[in-house]
Amino acid sequence: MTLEQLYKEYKNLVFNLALSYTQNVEDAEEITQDVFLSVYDNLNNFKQEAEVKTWIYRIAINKSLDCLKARHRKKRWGIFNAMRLDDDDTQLHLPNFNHPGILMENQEALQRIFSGINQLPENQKTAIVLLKIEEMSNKEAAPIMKLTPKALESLFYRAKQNLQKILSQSEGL
Amino acid sequence: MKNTSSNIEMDHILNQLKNIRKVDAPDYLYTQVIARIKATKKRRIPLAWTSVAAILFIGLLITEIKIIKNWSHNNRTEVLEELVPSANNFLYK
Repeated sequence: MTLEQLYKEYKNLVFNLALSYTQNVEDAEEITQDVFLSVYDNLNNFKQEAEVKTWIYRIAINKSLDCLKARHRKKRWGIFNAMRLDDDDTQLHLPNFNHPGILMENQEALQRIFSGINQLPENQKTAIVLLKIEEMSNKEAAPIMKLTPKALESLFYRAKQNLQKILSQSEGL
Repeated sequence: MKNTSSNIEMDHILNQLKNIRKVDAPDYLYTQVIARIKATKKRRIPLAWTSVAAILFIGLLITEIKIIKNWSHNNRTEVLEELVPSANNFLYK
């Protein structure tokens, strides 16, 4: 398969997945470019051990998580932001929230949920993105995360519990 | 009981994520991907250049080692000549 064919087939998948992680169009565009650059670089090394879709999903997840880490580092080291870091971490407010797939009437509720999801550990975040936003079954999502369906089920359960704690804490503020 | 109801509530909250619509990736992204691939290719040094540089470096290293070896050998001989007096009758002249 050529890069162009792969791009045509998976561009929307990658772009929407990146949006689910970053909730920001510019970041999602950057991630989509990075993913296909990585696909191009590794096209010859790709062994058909995994499905192409699974492989692209994994690259997209890793690039999205890298982007979030970079964003977090930037925020952490910003001299002026440093003073209000604690506030930003507990408040459920996303300054860069710009998701074109969210309707105006759902914006506030979903922004609140995403703020909670963003505070979860990486693997729990990925479990929620794949199972709830991508609407995959445990069987489909497990190989992407290199887990067994059973392990993914318990990871998702922990993610739900943690998210509940985060959201209830925010309501208590 | 409380656990079950909160679990249902959480499921309800997470089900709101299904309201997110899928959007199309902008068309210009592919052009940008291709531009980035070309830019990366330009930046990459060809293998031949790297090989030539590596051979030159190794050659230089070997020459340097040889020079140092020669120099230290000559130096050692000079030091020995200074330490061991030469067998001549210079003092008695």
